[in-house]
Amino acid sequence: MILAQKIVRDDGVLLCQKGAPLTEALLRLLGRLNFETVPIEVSSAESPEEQAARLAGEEARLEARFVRVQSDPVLTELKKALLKRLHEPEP
Amino acid sequence: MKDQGEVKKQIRRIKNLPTLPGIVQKISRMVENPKTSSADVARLIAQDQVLSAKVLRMANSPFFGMSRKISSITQALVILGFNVVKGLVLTSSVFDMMKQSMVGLWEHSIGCAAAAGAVARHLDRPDTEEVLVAGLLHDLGKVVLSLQVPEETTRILDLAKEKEISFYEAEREILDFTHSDVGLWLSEHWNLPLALSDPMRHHHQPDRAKGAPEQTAIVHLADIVIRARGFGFSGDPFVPPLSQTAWEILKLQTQDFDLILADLDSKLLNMADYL
Repeated sequence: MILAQKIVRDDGVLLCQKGAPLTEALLRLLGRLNFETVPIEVSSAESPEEQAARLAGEEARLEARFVRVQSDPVLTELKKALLKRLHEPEP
Repeated sequence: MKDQGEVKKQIRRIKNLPTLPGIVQKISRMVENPKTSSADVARLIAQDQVLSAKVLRMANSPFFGMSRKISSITQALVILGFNVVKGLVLTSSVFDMMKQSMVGLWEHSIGCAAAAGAVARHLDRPDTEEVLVAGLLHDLGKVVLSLQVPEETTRILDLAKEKEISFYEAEREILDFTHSDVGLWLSEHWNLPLALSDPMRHHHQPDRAKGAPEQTAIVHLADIVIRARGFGFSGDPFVPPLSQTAWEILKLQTQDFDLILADLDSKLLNMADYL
């Protein structure tokens, strides 16, 4: 069994990537963090609308993290690389 | 409210911190003695079975990507070296407590280590494991601040949030020193090598790292990359400024970010088992 969606805590901290195997250790960790359910189905896990909303939220959080270094050309390229991975995650 | 001198004195009293292991100092003393063998150090660590198990678990984690299993402390010392094992002893002891009360900082430290490893591998460095441990330990000063002066740490966090500034800037406003200075005191106290102490001390100002400038530049960039990636929480949500000196030392191109991020993500995917 693998995770159908990445798991993010309420404060935005990424706990586990989409596609991670649902191991005993992961279940124990999520239990400790009071997660009662996790999405495990890969197919049709996310509708196009849900995906668009999720990506918009992730992009907004990414932009917010870079707000203080907007004039740095190297870090702008880092942001672009992260945006690219957001939209074209590797299998 | 405590005055600055009192706060500093409290921080410097780190040797009384029950969770920080005397074993690290013992290892330091042993390593300084030319007659000490790997077996002597291994015997010392092995006296604490829980600690040994934790060190071996970290040594065999996907971080290090060892092709064969490290099954004893002696083997870890031979393959990874004294500095890495010493760093892992420190990490194993201190981070237990972080997992309970500072999950975000623990995740940031793990993530920074993974990012430092990804950058070091990309640069084809022979000391990848040591650089990775430097990433794990870089914010140890924050752990000690949080344990020794919890009230001040809460004020720093509140100020950073309220003024939308970095934790580092807020530390400077509230204390007259930062977690980087605490890192220096810790590394002096534990007699850590420059390859670990310089990144702890100078990861925010890598141009000041004279002893281990390359390792510090890697940890500086790793801190930026993992914050940019949004993994963990180290006191504020912002990507810190990039040091031009560090960027020049590393001789990277912006196109390298794609490969570094792909390597990093593959390591973070397996991270949950080690959280």
